[in-house]
Amino acid sequence: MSEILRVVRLKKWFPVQKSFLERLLAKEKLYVRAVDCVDLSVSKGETLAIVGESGSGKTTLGRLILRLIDPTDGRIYLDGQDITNLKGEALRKLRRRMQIIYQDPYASLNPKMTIGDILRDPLKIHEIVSTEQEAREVVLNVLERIGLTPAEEFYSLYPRNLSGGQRQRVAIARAIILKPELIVADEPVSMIDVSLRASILNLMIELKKELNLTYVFITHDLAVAKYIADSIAVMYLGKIVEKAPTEKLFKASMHPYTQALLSAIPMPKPLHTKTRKLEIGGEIPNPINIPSGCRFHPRCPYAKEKCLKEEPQLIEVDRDHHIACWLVSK
Amino acid sequence: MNTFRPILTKLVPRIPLTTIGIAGLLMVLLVISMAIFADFLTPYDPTKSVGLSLQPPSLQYPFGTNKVGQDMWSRTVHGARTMLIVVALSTVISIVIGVPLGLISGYVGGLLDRVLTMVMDAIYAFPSLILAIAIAAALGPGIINTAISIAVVYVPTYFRMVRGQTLNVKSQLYVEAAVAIGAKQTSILLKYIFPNVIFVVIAVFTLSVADVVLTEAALSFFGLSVPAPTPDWGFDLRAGHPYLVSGYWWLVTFPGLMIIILAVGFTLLGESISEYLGLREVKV
Amino acid sequence: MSEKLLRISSLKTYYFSRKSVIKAVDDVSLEISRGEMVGLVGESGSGKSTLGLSIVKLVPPPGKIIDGRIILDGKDILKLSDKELRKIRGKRIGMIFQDPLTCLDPLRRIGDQIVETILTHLRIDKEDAREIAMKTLERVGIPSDRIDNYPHQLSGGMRQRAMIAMSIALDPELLIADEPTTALDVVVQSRIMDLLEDLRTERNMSILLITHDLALVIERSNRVVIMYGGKVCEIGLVKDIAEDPLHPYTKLLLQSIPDIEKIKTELKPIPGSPPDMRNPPPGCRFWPRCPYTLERCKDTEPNLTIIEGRVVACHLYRG
Repeated sequence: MSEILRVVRLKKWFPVQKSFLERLLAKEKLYVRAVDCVDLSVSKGETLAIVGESGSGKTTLGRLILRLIDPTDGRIYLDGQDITNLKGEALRKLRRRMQIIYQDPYASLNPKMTIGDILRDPLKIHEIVSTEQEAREVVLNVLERIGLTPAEEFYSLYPRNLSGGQRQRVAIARAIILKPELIVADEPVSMIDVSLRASILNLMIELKKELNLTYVFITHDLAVAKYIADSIAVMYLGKIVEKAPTEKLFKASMHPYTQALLSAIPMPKPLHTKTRKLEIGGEIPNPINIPSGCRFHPRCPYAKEKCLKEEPQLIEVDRDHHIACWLVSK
Repeated sequence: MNTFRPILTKLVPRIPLTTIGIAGLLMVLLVISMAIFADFLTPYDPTKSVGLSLQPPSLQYPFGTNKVGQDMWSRTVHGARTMLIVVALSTVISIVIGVPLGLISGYVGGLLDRVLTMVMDAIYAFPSLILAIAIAAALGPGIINTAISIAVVYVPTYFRMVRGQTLNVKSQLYVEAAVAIGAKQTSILLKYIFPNVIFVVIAVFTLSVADVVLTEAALSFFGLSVPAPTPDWGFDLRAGHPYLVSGYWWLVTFPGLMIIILAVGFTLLGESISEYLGLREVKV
Repeated sequence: MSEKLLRISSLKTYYFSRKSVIKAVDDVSLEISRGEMVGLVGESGSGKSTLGLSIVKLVPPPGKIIDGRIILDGKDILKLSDKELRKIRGKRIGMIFQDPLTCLDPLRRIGDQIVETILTHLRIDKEDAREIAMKTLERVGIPSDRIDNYPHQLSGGMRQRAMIAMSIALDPELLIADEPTTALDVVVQSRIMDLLEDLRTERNMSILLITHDLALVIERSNRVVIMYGGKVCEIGLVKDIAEDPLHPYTKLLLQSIPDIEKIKTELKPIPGSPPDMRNPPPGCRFWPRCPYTLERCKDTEPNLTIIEGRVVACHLYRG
């Protein structure tokens, strides 16, 4: 399969805002190292899940890929084209090819625009249609497709008239209406009621097949990732620590952090906790103070001397299975 | 135009007013009707001497006459027109200058924002009446000049509120979403930011219009507003107050009462509207 | 563990606004025994949070408890005066929330806040209160040298632990935990749940775990209460609910949550959406989404039926 997205040594360091006095007295600058040297490759038609806890940098990574923020370093390639430094008109036009679905269905829709307006806007911006009539038709079709029927009714409603689940469907519609190649979905079901998540996920899966989409699916929920993703990349403190096809990650994960995550997921089995494999303590440290060597070492039960001193690189240890850990690679 | 029509239709009808708000509305409507129907309501030309000087209220002259023999009833009723024209004009000027500047300043940020904010803060720091007086004195008399003098005083208020709300809206997720779909900057400003900022303009208006009334009255009291024969409440107050001591109460009572009615009316109405808007929009 | 601590009887808590009445908790009855963890599961509009707040009479206006009884040790606490109720809140019933900053004053040191809570209820010296505070902080996993920290100096998980410390300092008999771990990382969540479990067994303290996470509840609780649209659907032991759910909502809910141990799960979403609580459907609140709807369901509300020690409100199970 051809590669649609490639990310090379991508970095995003946010300078820490300091008071005037602190700036005067301090010698070195401090940074929040949100994304710290990430390599990724996503094939066309694939769903890659980026899994991590808050503080892992996954949301920032999503924003970087879509060029909603500028990288500090590294390169981003969309379908072979270097989009790292695109600006202005070129960047604006590029957006047709990559879209986003946000986590919060309440905040991501303009409260002063009707659903019809919200969905017509992308069409008008990129001049996909030439008449109002055409635009309306396209929007009505999309509304039908995503299950908001009767479409004519929803067309003139405002976001505040819709439930959270319905709003998220509108957000999905907005993302697909331009028929993009790549969609970054940032925790699209985290704020949706549990019983409705499956329908949103199933809709996304169907749309992917119909429109030949590629998803970068950001989530903290490994169970959701398992359901929707072809491969999973686990992020910790700005770096990818393990990447593997979904089945392999669940059956044969190698990184201690991945194993800890898998062990901590609540399972709908009574007394399940008694059979957990790996437990770790502590919390993700502040991304301003990244631990030396392997950034996971303070919480890792298997940490050795080398782990404190040198940072392991992400290397392929098995077919398509990448890991950054001194236990596995020498 | 398509963006504006839904906004207007949404804001105008169906704002539930409390009893106080309705009282205020009635007071304001009273004055507005006086201004509109002035010609039908008054038998005499307010600028001409039509009777004997300093006559007390009578059937022929319900509000009496002033020193130069003008009918106070006609002057008071026509004064509403003058007042409301100045208020409307100065509000329009304040909004036309303050709102776009606030929007752009908030949206663009950077050096432009800092400079504009400093200028606006400087104007805002002046005591409003003194500033209005200074400008009116410099510009000279006339309805338009008066409107400009008052407008300048309120431009910073519109600017600040609009800028503040713009900064607030700018950080909302749906604005980033607009960027993500590839919207142009102007489109973002007009379709995404402005409609979510505009209610602030209504709020500022309702809360400051009473003040504008009083400022106009003060300016004309100092003789800096409209020139002599034009009926104006503040002017009449000034003209009439030396005679108050001698018992000619009708010269100041009626213009004074009108100023109070209009100012209080706007205040009550304004409070009621802004309370409603504040409660509604904060949740958005 | 079979001694009854709290009995909620036909509780009704409604929110009154000018246009509508939201029947957030609509005739709910349940019991909590000493030392057990009861999971209260529901989605938006289920009324679970309102139920938690009702127990300690902390329902914010325009909400009002309009009917029902909450019996703690034989006494209906809804009938108590404010003064008597304050004695219970904090001392006999503790409460923790999703956001620790709703309990913790960001401007005061955590140690001071715990001490103040203690002194409100116990007539002891400040030093003794501080001793208790330190011991409690240690017990929840916060080193005692952090007793003088401000909330913002603690990490998310630590703040949650601080809030737990504050609520258990006086050794309450019941702890109401409203989404205590929803905002936390799954690893931290696991440790916090371990802590709660340990506290429960150590102190024979009952815990009412209010959450939308059915998997969490099944993994950790003894009994489960499923709520939907302000009403109770089903109550039962965790094993029974997980292996043999009775209520259609429970069944569908179980089918709709991703389970990572199944090889290829087919998630079956529940069609429709949670009810609009201003205008809930007549009859059984769940019928518009229920695959087993009978005619009766559309106009008659099902009563709670007891089957082999389990409770279910569904017309499919009427005797």
